[in-house]
Amino acid sequence: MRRTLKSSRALRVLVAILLASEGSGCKSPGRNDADTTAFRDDFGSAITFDTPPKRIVSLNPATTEILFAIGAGSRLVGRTHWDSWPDSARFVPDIGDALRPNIEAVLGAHPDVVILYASNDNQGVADRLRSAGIQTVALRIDSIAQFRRATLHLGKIVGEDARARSVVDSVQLTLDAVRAATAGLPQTSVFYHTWDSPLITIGRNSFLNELVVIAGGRNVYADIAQASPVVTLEDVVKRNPDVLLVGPHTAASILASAQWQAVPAVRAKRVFVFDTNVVGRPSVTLGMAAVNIAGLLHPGAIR
Amino acid sequence: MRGSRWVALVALLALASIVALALGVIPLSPRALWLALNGDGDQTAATIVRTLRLPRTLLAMLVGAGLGISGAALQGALRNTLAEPYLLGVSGGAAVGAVLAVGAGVSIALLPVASFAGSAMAVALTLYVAHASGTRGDPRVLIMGGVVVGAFANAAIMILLANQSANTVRGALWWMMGSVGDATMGNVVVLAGYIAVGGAALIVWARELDVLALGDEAAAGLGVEVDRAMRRIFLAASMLAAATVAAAGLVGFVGLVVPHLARMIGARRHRPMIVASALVGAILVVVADVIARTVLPPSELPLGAVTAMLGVPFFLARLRKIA
Amino acid sequence: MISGHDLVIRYPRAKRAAVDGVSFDAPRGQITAVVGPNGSGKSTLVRAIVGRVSLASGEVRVDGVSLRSLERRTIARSVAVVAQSEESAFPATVAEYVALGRFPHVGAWHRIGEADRRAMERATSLTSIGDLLDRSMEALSGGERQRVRLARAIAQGGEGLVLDEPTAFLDVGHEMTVFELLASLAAEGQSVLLVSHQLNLVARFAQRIILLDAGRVAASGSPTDVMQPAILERVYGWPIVVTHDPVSGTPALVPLRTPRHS
Repeated sequence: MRRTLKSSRALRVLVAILLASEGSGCKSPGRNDADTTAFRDDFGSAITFDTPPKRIVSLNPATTEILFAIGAGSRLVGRTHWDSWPDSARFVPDIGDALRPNIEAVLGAHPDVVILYASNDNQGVADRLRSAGIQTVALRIDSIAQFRRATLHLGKIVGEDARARSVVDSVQLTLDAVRAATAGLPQTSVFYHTWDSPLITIGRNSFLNELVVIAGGRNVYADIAQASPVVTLEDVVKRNPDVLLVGPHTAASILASAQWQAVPAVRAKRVFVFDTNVVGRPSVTLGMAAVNIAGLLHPGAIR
Repeated sequence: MRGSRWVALVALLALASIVALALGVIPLSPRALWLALNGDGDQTAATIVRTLRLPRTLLAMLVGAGLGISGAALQGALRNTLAEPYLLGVSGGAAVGAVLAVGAGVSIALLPVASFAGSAMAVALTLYVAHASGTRGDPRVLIMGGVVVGAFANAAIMILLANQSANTVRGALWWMMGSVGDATMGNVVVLAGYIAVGGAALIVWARELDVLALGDEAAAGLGVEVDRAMRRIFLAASMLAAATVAAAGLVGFVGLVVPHLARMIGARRHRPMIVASALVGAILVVVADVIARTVLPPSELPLGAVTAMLGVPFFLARLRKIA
Repeated sequence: MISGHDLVIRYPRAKRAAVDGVSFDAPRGQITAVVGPNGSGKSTLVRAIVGRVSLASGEVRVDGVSLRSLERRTIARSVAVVAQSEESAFPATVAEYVALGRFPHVGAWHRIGEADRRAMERATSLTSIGDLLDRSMEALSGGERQRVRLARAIAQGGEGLVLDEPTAFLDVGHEMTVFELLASLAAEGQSVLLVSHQLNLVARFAQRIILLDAGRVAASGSPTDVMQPAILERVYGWPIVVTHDPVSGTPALVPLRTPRHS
């Protein structure tokens, strides 16, 4: 009996350690992360809240969108210039950039908490905000698992655990449904076009890569770890993707370009435009993004 | 310069071009290359060679030739072997034009126009600054004018880039690091036009460069209208450089190093030196592009990064000469 | 042949005019020397002939025609100028350098023709640089380089020759060679206009001297007329005794050692 108690406590400690570690862990969906009353953010700082904050500055398009989705949108007193979703984010004051934000502007909004993007650039910003007495939470949202984790953390912070859980579950449900629908289908090889000059695509560590896999596709550059690698047109020709996924402004120029004709998929006009309203950010629209991409790769498979 | 050297240069250029067409992510044997050039054989290879590698290699040749000619003419007119084509504000102005264009989200096709316009305005500003200082045609004043305009351009670029999205900054930086990757036969033809006109003009004025190299007073004594000659040579050389920047971004050190190489192989008077610089420049940039493409697959090094490596041995050699 | 009429030349932002109402005449067949202290305007005159400095008023004429109405190339065909110093950024051989002297005739495109070759040969033999032709300009000694520069000027084929301090930094042997050459050129009919510090040599070789002082003509005429102690002392600010050189028969200057005023 004692032995089993000890081992179950050891198990719980192990779980707590796993929960506290950074990066995308292999977490199964639906785990109740809200069990812990405190957590560490992605800069390793311990985060505790006595009362839910009333004034939030969100310096990351993904977290802004998530906060709106879990019903905390009205508490936002500041966002970055690049936060365009949801539409009502427009009414939140624009404080500047997500990377190296203007600290004075942030302080001027008198926030109870600042949600930062956990990049190396922002480490100094987090320190300065903390020394000014502002609670700062740094989150890295680069993968689907990190999105889940961040949403649950945000839910805990603002006191909307249930809504956070339902957002996460809903996204997960959609992702699972797409995965199931494309499971038996032959994998379509994909080249995802992010930017033209230089030619940027997605690598293994990009959440978009995860979406492509869920949607029944195979990213031709999955062998490269980097999230946004620069590649050459000749190399794309060599890898010969079945399909190109491009943004709405690029499709016409790619189809018209003499050089892109070297890619067989372009010659066959298999160039499809993804919906930039849902595709492109690791946020609450991840499920819809998977649906959109699956619809392009396997038309008719998603109903 | 001896006839055999000319033959060697042309042969080297031909060889470099063939290698450039054959090498890449998909290497081709000579026979496969021949088929591809004619449009026969594997269609993918043919498209790669004809629409990707051929325009870029031709553009690389023209960029090298243009920068070589421009550098040779400027070093002669300014009587300074460290002068280079970007000196009179060409690079700063072009970069400002390009960054404005990238930031405004215009199509890539308009980038060359924006960059050329930027260069033209910067050169005009440099000439004006030098003229307003009152001294007549002193090369040092002109160089200072170029430094002033360049400093201003750098500040402008930093301000312009400070508030742009990550992809815009990356795109602008990529442009500034130089690349012939977006080459089409269209911009090959346009650049060829500029080089034909500008190059021909400078070759005609080459004898004047020989005389100008003696100094202002000596040149005036020999019948050269020094101020006017300097102005038109600067304009022609700068416009050549601006055209190469418009086509391929900033490809540094070529205009600086190539005239030295041309002198090393024996070209002394400016007419043979300008032509030799065109050939040497073409060879250098074609080779640099091959290196840029093949050294780090599947990615590509910026062309300007490869040519910047040229600066290292060049300045080391000069240091040894001085020491 | 080369003449200046009431020249006034002012440098930008200068207090006084560098040349203030100077007139001179350098006829054919003579050596005309312009002398004077530093800053008296001698080199400015040369620059005016070459067109590198603008005239506030007055005219420079070649054979009676104002320089203003002539193109540089036309002027260069009649008048050659050997400047005080020359930068040469690029090494040339002596032969190439002398050939540049034909630029006013040959221009950008014409090939070197018979007339050009003859002019170059004459220049080469007059200056005795035949054995230097294949050498690089950078490898020459000071004296050799000056002869080559003279050869280039002679190759220009004009009847006027203007020289600014042609014997600075030359030793006595080379100095005499240059002056002898100028004398023989003048004897053949050239107009030689010479700016020099070397008062004694100028007294021996020049037929006319123009003495400048702070931009104005202090004296002009034959060496005997100009080399007067009172004038020279006033202009140079140093006690000078003028003697008669028994060997050459011309005035010779002896500056005294102790200054009268501190």
